[in-house]
Amino acid sequence: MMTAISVNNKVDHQRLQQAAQWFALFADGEINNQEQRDFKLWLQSKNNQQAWHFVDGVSQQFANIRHSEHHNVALNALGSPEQARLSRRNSLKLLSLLPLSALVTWAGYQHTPFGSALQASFAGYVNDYATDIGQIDHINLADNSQISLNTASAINVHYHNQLRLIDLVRGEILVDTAKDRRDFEVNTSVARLRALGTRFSVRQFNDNKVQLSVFDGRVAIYRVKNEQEHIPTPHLISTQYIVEAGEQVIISNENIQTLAPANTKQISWQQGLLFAEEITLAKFIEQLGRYRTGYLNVSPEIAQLRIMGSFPINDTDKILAMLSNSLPIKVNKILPWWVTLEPK
Amino acid sequence: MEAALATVDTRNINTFYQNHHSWLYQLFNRKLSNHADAADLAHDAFIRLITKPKFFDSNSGARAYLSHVARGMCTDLWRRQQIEHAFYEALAECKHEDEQSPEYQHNIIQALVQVDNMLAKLPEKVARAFWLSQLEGKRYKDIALELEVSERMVKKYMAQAMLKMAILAARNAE
Repeated sequence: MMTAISVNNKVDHQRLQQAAQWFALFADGEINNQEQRDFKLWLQSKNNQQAWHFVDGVSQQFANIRHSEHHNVALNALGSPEQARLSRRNSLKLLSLLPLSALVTWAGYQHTPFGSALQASFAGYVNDYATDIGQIDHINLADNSQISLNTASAINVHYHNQLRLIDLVRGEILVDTAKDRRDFEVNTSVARLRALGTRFSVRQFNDNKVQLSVFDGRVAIYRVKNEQEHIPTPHLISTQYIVEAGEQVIISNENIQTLAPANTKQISWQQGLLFAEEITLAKFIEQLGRYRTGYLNVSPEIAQLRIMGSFPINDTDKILAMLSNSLPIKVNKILPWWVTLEPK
Repeated sequence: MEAALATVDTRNINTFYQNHHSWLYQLFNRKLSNHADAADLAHDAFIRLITKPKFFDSNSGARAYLSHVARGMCTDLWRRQQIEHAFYEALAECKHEDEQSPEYQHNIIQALVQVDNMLAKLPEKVARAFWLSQLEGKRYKDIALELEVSERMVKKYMAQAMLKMAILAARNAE
């Protein structure tokens, strides 16, 4: 008797099903920011990654043909699926005899200009100022304060008689405050940040944490007990925590954690540059991923390669090409928004 | 004659080989009437059993399995040769300035065979939708027109096709 082929357990099947559904969503070329965020969230689970690995593998096999120089020759050779089926009518439906894992290796890196136009972020209609993925924007406010929005960021501006308040909805901003009789504050999901004559950046993470980096002056962190009140009365304000120039902290609901000193290179995004100082490829790609729509993945074999240099944020395709020129890696572009980096 | 309950373990590859190789070779030779191909396929079949050992309750069980595998290998070889032939024919028709290496050609044929294999396991419209999207780069709305189904259905086909192929890939990796 044949031994039974081991059957995937239910959980695996479900995850594969989810992965296949993500694929079907992506395969039409356009995904919006929300979908991308949801996918990244889904992909955080190790088990989901495993399921995605198989979907990725299958998809690569097709991409290899699509991207080969002899694309048309190859398609003609294959004929239509109907023809193929006809010739197999009587053949047994065996499991594939060729190992799917034996990926063909010649897949060329084909430069296709970044495909689908970035879709206007849904939130863009709701918030006062918003940037799409990969977009950086600079805003001059009425009082001459300046705010730069990093990729995929959104703010609302509330200027009151006694207070200039910026609501950081998502993403990262760099603030240069102008002198004014009113206080200047940034509201985040976990705390209020009051500028004390200053230049600072704030990044709101999805997991409800906030990073504050101060480059000039000082910033006071405090909590507001009643979120509804734009201008809290003194008794509703918690004790302040002052962050000095050169310091940076992560603020969560539970505590405030000090990080390594703030470095102005980390705000080079304001000038449209991404700085890498001896960081791993994996870390760099994680940063690059913020500026790029779609799925960007690094194979584990090359994840620890070191990167150094400055890169133009506005052309992430170019950055990938630069990497593949200087490192033993190849860029496998399965679809314009779906890229994996692999060893050469 | 073997004992009825004797288990056959392909990890005892010497014994297994001695018992079944010449029978399998002849089976291939009969089907393909080509000594070289028959020898190759018989060899491949044993390699598969070394990399993925199997257990059988009897020698006749082992042979039932082997002939099942052999039939599939023959149809696959036949299909592969068709693809190879068509590829070289199409290649000869279009004049390329730079000749591709045999290795490149081998790789692309290999990829075509794999893709062909996967698509053949899907229902017709599902395979067609996947083909149009992933090999011809068409948008769902165009595929929907061509297949005379809704765009939603195309998306459903795509997920269905991918799920089926991903399951196969996952099993093969086990």
